[in-house]
Amino acid sequence: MEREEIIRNIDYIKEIVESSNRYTNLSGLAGIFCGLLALVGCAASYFLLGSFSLTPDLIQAKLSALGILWLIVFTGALSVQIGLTIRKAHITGIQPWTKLSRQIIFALLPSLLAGAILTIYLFKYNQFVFIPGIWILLYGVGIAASGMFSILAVRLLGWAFIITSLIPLFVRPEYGLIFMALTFGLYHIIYGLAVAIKYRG
Amino acid sequence: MKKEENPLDLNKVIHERIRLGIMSALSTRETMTFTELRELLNTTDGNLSVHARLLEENGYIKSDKKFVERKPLTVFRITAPGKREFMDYLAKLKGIIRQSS
Repeated sequence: MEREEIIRNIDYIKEIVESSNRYTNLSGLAGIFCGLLALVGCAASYFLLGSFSLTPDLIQAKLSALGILWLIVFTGALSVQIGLTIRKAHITGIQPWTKLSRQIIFALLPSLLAGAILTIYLFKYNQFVFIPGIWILLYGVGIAASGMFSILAVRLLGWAFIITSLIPLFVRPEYGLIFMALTFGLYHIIYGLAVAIKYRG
Repeated sequence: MKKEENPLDLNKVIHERIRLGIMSALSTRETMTFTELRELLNTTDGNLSVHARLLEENGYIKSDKKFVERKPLTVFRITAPGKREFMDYLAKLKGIIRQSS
């Protein structure tokens, strides 16, 4: 066995493993839908609050309505994501629940949990203004982590969230809603379009 | 004379370009369709069929034929023994490189 031949074989394995990532179960359509849903959520919040700039008093007055609204948005987005991933898996004939999808979900879960905990924490200390920034940051962290098991577009999406979160956290917390629309809305739509075009669906 | 690693010692079922490609892809993705594998490995229907059948006869992969929207669809899946053999194969490649360096 020639050393060169073995090295060629290893390069070939590497190439196949890397390019097999091309076939993703992720649904670009789901990204677009979730983005639109987030935009609807932001628009509805705007109408509830009557303003784009968040103040603690304003949020406190509409707290339960906002809570229910975003719970609906999250549940809706989650159902769309699960439904469309299963649909795509059905079309391509590939199992939706594989080791890979488990890794993706378990990489995402801790940061979502951290986001939920911090949301409760901010509620407790009446720091509602930082909720959008925290959501954007921790969602981004989760997506960037799960992207390690997925395509580059996912990692880029995660990092875009993380970087953008710095503005509502440090510079303009009162415009959190606009940054929610930018990230959860626009970034998801751009990501969804890219995935849909590149990976067919 | 120093005892050399016998090249024939490498798993012959895996040690072929297309079959090595199938095993590499399936050990990453677990399941892939016939069409996806054919595109990924840049090969023909006939070639992929022949090599996939050989892997399947050896129990390294499993195929599942079904109909999706009235079109036939073949899905390949790696088996536990298949995964083990592939890992052994990689370990042997590493061993050979070590010896020859």
